[in-house]
Amino acid sequence: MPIDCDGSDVIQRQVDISSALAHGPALVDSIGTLYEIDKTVAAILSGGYQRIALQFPDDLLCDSTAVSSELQRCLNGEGGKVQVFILADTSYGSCCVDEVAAEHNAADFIVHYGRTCLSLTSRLPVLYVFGRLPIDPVDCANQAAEVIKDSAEDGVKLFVLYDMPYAYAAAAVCDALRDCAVFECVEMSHIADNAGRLYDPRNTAESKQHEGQPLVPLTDYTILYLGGESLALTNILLTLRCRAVFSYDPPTRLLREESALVNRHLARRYKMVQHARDADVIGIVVGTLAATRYLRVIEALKEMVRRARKKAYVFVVGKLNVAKLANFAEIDAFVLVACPENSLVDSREFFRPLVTPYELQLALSRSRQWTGDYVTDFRAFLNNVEPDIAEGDYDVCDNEEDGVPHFSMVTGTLKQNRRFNDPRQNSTGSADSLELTARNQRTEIARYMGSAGAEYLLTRSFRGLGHDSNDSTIDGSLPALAVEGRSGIARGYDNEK
Amino acid sequence: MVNFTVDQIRGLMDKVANIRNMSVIAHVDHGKSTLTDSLVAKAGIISSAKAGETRFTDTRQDEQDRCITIKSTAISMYFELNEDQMEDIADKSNGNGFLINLIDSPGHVDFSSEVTAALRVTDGALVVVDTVSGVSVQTETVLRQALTELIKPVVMINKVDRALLELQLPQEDLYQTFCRVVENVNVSIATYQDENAMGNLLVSPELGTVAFGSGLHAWGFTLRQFATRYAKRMGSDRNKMMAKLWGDKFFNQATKKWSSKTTDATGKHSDRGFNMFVLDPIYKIFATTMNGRKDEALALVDKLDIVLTSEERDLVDKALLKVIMRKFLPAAEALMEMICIHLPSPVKAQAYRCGGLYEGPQDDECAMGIRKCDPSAPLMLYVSKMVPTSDKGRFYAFGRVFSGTVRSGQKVRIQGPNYVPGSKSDLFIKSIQRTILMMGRYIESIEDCPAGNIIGLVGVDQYLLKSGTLTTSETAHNLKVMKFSVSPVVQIAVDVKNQQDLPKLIEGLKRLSKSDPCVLCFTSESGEHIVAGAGELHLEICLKDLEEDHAQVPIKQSDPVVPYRETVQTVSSVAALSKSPNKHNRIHMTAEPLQDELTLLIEEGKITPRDEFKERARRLAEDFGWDVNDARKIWAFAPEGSNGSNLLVDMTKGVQYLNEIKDSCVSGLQGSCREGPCTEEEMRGCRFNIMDVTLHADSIHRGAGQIMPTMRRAIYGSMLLAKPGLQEPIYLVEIQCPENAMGGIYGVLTRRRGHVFEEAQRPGTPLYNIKAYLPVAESFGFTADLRSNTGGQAFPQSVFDHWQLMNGEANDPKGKLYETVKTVRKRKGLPEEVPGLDRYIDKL
Repeated sequence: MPIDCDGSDVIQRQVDISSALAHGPALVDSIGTLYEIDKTVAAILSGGYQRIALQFPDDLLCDSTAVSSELQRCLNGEGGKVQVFILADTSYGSCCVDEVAAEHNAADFIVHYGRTCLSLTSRLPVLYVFGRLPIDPVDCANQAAEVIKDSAEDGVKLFVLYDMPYAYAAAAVCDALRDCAVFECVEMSHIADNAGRLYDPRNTAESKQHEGQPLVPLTDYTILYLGGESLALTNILLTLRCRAVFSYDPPTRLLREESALVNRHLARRYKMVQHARDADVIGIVVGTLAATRYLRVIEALKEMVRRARKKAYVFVVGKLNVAKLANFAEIDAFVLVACPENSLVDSREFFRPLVTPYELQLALSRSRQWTGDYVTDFRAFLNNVEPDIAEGDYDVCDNEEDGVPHFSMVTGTLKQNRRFNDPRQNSTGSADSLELTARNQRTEIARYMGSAGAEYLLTRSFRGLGHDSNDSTIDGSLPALAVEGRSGIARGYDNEK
Repeated sequence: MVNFTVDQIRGLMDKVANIRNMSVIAHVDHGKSTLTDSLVAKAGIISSAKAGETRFTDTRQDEQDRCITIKSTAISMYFELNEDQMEDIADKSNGNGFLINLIDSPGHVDFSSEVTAALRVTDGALVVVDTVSGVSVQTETVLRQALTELIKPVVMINKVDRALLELQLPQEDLYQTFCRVVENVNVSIATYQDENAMGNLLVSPELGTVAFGSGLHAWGFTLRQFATRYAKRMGSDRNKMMAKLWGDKFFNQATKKWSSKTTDATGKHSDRGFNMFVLDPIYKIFATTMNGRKDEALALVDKLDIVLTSEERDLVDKALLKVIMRKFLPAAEALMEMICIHLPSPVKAQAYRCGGLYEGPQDDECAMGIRKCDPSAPLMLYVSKMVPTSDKGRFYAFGRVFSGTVRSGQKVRIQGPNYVPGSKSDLFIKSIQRTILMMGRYIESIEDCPAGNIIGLVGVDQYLLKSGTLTTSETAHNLKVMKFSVSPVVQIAVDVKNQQDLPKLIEGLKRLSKSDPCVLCFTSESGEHIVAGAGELHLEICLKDLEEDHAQVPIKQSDPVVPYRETVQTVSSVAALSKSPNKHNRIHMTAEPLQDELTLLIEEGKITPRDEFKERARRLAEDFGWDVNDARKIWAFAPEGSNGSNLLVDMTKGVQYLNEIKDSCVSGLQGSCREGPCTEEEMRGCRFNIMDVTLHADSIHRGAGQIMPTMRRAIYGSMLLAKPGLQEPIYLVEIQCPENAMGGIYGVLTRRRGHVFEEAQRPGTPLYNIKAYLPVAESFGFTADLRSNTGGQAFPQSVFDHWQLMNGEANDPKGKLYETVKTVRKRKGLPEEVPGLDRYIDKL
């Protein structure tokens, strides 16, 4: 959200329903194919689920009632007592499965429609329905052959990735590409094949299959992405090291190379890492309650921060916006734990840098260096981080008395980090806490036991409780007297009526 | 030639009265390094085999290649005075051996930060002036710097051989040339000297504070040497003789009498003392050797008691001339003598320099230690620069012990430039690993080093970026941070060719940042790695160092760009109103420009947020016409920490809870002032008035999250309502050229939006001095352009002078300025159009 947004656009926002799946409310007869009703019904019946939650993104909500009644009809037509209800207004991003909202209604099965980040759920079984958008495989292949052939001299290995609504057509595109016979080889991702099946987190064997194999190294490959500009594409650009990335946008039939933007984007992310390195107090913002392993990631982050002698606070703020995070001025940098697609928030508008877990890892690690590789996947992140923590990669050497300052690229000067939870201080800390401290004139507590929040409070000019009032009638040495406050709600207090 | 063991040098360091710390300063190409060479050749602690190589102090390969000094280099020398020389030393000294620590500094204006660093650790300066081109721009600049640092100058008029060989000046003309140089130097000295602290510093040949000679030929003299020679021969007093060798003192050959007139009563012509006794023998040597009259020359040699070897007698022409002159008037002898006699010892200098050096109270133990140069007082050491070691990434901290004694293994407090006494910020307590003597290309370890000496330290480089104070006293304040005469106003974005090399680049930038006193390295908001330097040459050298030494990876670089400043040109037409995200809070704000003088005062640190607010308010009211009540309610100066010149003023009346949101407002301001609304460049010289505030009654609805974004929008909105403008950096360019090159200069300047504001002929020369203002943005390739348009006769010296408001409004899409704005926005990856006002202000 841009900074100059005052929030009114939330109410006035026009959801762009003309784009995605539906061109206006889908025709009833096409709903069956578009929303894969048959497959859904089959999955529900085979699992014997009773309460079904349907999760739609905002742009598909217009079809939700039609889909819901169609499902009701198919399921209960066979004498079942299956209840279907619709979830809207997701807490985080509509790409993530909103398990918490589903559980509010005691659902035992979720069907997720539209674009998804494919983050795996941790409690409920889920079925992804991608929907299908029209694509012309032949046109795509011809354009690709023409453009990509010119861009490289020797044989090109092509790897096809796709936005979910085009998953069904990926194979057809591949065939068409092979027919062009200009590429050394054409391969495609099989993520959608697995993901399109029902996923149940309680079945471990199955979940392994769902995560699929990590992609083969694609350094020799040229990537062709089917789909328009989206977070998914940005993600691919950032995380995959490959020769080049081309994107084909089916509605506009435009094929173009996508590299110029990525370096710029990476450079900006790098700046974020630099900011995070300078930070002393870090806020861990929980941006998902659905993606598997998010708890482990948070734990790993906390441990990482603790070992780096910094201070971490955990925040759950729902959907992010500038005003929410600006409330916590004592935090130097935020790290956002969210599904891969939502992690990359362009944080220019935020008052504090907002980084991903991987970026924080780079900032705190002593051995890891920025190489241009990028990780947004939790599993890959944890695979990197947990061994590092065990090896003490984030530990600050305790034998150095107060550490060597590091060169901050943000300011171009040396920056000395504050140290929190120093074990040496802790060992004496217990004794300290029993010591008496002389009360000073302003009745402040002299030591705050290394609390970052309290330290920040001391730097503020206003601290509340009349301590710092310029009004000379208030005696600074005494706390202000408690008086009865207002009652009622903010819209109109009792005394305002 | 004396060669010393380390122990002997260490012994010398204790005799503080016999130490002279001095720098050699001058305009570029006036011969500092060459002259220094002749000193190195003469008096050495450095082994004889190494001495005398061409430009010994130009240690870097590129310095040798380009024939220009880039880094200042220190060498130590030993010199013994004889008895009658000792008589002239006014102060008490300890034996007749002198330790001279000399720092050779660069002359090009782009490197003048090196000069500043050199001056800080020395007490005296040898100002070198070219006879032919005279006192030039940079001569004046460095002289001014020296005098403001309370450094005593002596003058060497160099390249006299050129005057004789190339220009063939007659004796009287040469005398007049010398006179003018001395006069010009004295004009500068008189302007900037602090007579109360240091007494009269004007230089004069008859006092022995001006030397003449040729660094290239390694000969030189002061009047004192000739006076000694003649005094002995004529049996008169040396000092009386000296006085007669300069000025309008004429000697009548016939009557053997001195007079102050060129002709005596009988109309007989008298010769000027200087011409007759000083120049005549020199002219004779030149005339005889260069015109093939070798026999006469050799006869002259014998007459002057110059001993030549038989091989030397076989030389002819210039080679012979050099040998004769070098033996007749060895430059080192003259200079060393002048340095020892006239430049102050550390003891003497620190007594008056302390006030200008030490930030703390002048009566604490540290100040006392500095004033007395007391080796047993608490340690006070100023690190003025970092010198790269052979160990990649590590540096020697180069500095001067002002008080106490520094030793290897000693635990010291390392106080960075932002250290505040009593706090823990920018403070480290560490041990010094080793103390070393730095002598040009060589270093020697020594055990300890007492006050008054220049020293290198190992093991503190990690804790200081460029400079800082080292002390053992817990109550010590900082030694004053150096103030440079140049600013880093030219930026280049660098990037690696291979992404994997990025960490090496970052490490390289850190090292570069350390190794140069002036350069700035940082990452811009758009993620570009920026190197900022004083000028094109400076950046070129920095980038070469970065690629070859510091990072050692292939680097690509952008075209140079200049930073701009955003400002406003009038008072906001209406108060901008912004509502908070929850609509419950409103801020009404206007923006208006500060007076230029006030902006400058703030930037110079003369008006600061730390001033006593009533005092400050009175000053603002009296000098700048502020309302006293407004002036008392300045909430913040932004951006903080860098003498930011944007003010936030509370002009509200009776707003409830206002003090609660003050912190949020200030945070909002600080963030906004780094990025203005039009180009996201820093703001400068803006005053923001909070006219009125409406706040929600419940504190949870007026938290930082509500106020900070609102504040930013109000600031941007009020700026857009107040004719936002851009300021660009302007160079002051000084050019010296012959008259026929002027047309070309004017042409080049006009094409580059520059304008000449002063043009003066240099007295007694056909040369003109041109002063002009030139936008830094137009200065790329200026030097080369100028040379090609003037047949290589003009050489510019550019130094950042001021910020200049550009014509037009930054948010007017039809204006010419908008093109500039769009270019900047495009470079930063922003949408090209400036956001409209409606994004920032709301309706009631």
